[in-house]
Amino acid sequence: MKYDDIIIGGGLSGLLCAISLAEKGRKCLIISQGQSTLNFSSGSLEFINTREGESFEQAVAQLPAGHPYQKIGADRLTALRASVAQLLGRAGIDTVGDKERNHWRITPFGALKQTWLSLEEMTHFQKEELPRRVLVVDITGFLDFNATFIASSLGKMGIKADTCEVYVQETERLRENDSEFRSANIAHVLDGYAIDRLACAINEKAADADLILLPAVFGIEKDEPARRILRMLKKPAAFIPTMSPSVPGIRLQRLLKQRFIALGGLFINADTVFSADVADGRIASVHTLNHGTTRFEADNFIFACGSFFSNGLKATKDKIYEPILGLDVDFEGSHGDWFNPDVYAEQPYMSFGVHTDNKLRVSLAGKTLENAYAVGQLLSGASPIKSGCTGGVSAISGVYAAEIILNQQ
Amino acid sequence: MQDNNFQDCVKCTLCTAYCPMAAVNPIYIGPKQAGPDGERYRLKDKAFYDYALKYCLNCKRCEGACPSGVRIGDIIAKAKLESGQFRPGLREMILANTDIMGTLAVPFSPIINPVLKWDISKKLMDGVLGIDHRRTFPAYAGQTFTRWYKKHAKKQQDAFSKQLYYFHGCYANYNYPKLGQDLVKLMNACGYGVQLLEKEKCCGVALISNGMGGQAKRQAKVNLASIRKAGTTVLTTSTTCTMTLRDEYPHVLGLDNADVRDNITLALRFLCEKVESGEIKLAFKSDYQKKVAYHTSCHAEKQGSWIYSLPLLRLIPGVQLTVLESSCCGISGTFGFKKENYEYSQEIGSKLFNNIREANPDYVATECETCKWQIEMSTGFEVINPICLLADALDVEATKQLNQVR
Repeated sequence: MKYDDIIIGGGLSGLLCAISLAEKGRKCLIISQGQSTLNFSSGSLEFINTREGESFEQAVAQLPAGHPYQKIGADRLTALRASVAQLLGRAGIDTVGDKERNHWRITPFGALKQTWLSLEEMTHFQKEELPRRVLVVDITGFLDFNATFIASSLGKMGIKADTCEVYVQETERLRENDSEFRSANIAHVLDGYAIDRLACAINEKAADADLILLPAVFGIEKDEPARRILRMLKKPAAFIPTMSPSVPGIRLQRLLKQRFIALGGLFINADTVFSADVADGRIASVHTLNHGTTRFEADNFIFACGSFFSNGLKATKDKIYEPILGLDVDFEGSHGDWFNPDVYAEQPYMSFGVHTDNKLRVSLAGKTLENAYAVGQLLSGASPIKSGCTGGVSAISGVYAAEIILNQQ
Repeated sequence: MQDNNFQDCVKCTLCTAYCPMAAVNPIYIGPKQAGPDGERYRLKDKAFYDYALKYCLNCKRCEGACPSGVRIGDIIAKAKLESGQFRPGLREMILANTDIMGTLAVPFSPIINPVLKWDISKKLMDGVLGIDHRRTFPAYAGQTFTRWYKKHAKKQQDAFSKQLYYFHGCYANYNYPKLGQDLVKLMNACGYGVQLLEKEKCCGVALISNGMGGQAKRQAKVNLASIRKAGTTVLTTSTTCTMTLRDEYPHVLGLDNADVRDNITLALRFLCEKVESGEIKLAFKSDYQKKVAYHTSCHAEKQGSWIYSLPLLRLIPGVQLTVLESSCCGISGTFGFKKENYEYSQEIGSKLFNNIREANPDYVATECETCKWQIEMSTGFEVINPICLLADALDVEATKQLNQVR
């Protein structure tokens, strides 16, 4: 089977790359091994952490030379940030975020965290516009969201935070299950009636608040439940992410996949690429477990397989490797050097990944593969948690690789 | 053959978040608990989580969700067979023994079909057997596909220089011979003769899900022997039979099929590959105009086989195609027929039914026969296998010419 482009991996970077290509009429196939880490998303994408008064550009300039942003080039990043936001918009995902500076969001622990692009309904503010008095809403029985904890953290920042617990009849059914009372289960049972009653109960308790904070358990398949609760509340309100799985993340994944398919894209789920045919410095085709003898041929191959969690990278005691083709991987030292015993410190293994040139082309035994690219968390050089660049690297590298491919045509 | 890999589970719970049953039924602990988590306990005692296993639809959407490649659905299916708690009753025997029921019913189909529609018989089946009275039974055919084939098609097949085999499955044989007939028509027009296997039994999927592992294994062995004897490509038209023959035999029944797995393929995949390589050319009628909504059945999603269906449907000039968001229709073979499951079944499917109503197509296209029953019963829209759609739209004479068939 012949395609223009085959993307291995169906998470944020793979989907954005594939959508960019499919929007230009290219025939694309995504081969995905299962759901991606987008399903654990906070509902916000980070670009990079900045210090007070620092611009994105200044922060990027301080990154090490091997960081994906440095490879892409500072001059391209502004335009790419705009492209990502527009691309999400065309998939029906409305976001907020300034092109040039971070805003702040509230984490599940009640901390403030910098971020670049947030789903419209998630918390987002500039430091100077922090709310003075908030109401943090908890749902009876839900353990993956701790309103008291959040309120206490906000209190330490001088925000007056009250909590309230609301009882939802529909979620009581979930208690029949001895283990699953999670965000996704709740989101499945919160229909229109439940939401309206929930809004009434919250409204009664929110007289003094200037912002209501809710767990992000609304709208797993469509935006409507999330929009509905915000519409029904009499005070401004926003969502805080819960412990995983992430309801906004699942919706993001769904909407991006739907957008890709609507553009004529084809998507293989739950399959594993186990080998590739390489000749003359190019990948000619790949094979998957489910499709056995079928050769999947393409002009370009994009590796968007994620990092260790997604099995894009694997580690043994003596090496870190890319399992499909054994692509060249950047890593240093031996097993003992890969991690820092202090779990809060920067972890060296997080910056390990597939080696690429400035066009994000991968290499095999030191030789660049002309038509194969790596994007997203598979890339080496980023220390995503320390620099705060996880979502940005995924989204921007995905769109950038698509640009390189399109420019060659 | 792959081993049970429950230890690869990292407890992320995405399987449960994507499980159609867990979304509507809180009593179901979900695939993570029933599958890899439960498996650890079951090493001590097979009875752990027994009560929950019956809720698994075997849709495999959990496996599609798992980022770690755990074969969750297979783990559950196997645990169900091994638990020994699922003693099939009369209802399970009737629902799962599709070969016996089909053979008995087809000769009397003019009587049986209307009787199955009577309120009184539905009430009786509900009360006595526990088959829900709201369920519509698929009609039996007046003549089986194999009988038609022997009478009207067999002789002509040997004239073709290229030969293939066809595993028709129970549905094409007893309920809807047109599917098999359309496949023969399509393949013949492309220059391929279609042969039947020496012996074909029901693939066994319903036996597996109703706790009849021994019988499933015996039937599987008969099928594998025939497929081995065929020694070449064996086409299928049902996604579920295909998955059972290719994946459930090794993963759930423990029967090695590695030597023939790649010979077993959906006819749509075979056609799509040959069309793309130029070995087969298709010509369609210019006046065929249909609005089609494609439904990705769970097992088409699991096998990724819909990537072959869509390009073929897009070849038909008069087809206006919408791709529905992949979601479970809720019937899950015999599951939705059981009284205690009917409401779960309809609730699971409701999202798909709404999407279909919104698309308002002439046909819903899907490769799964039980999806067809469920969607037709629940929405009133006509459901068609893409093979039948291709055959209906085909310009047979022009296709024969293109493929140099005399």
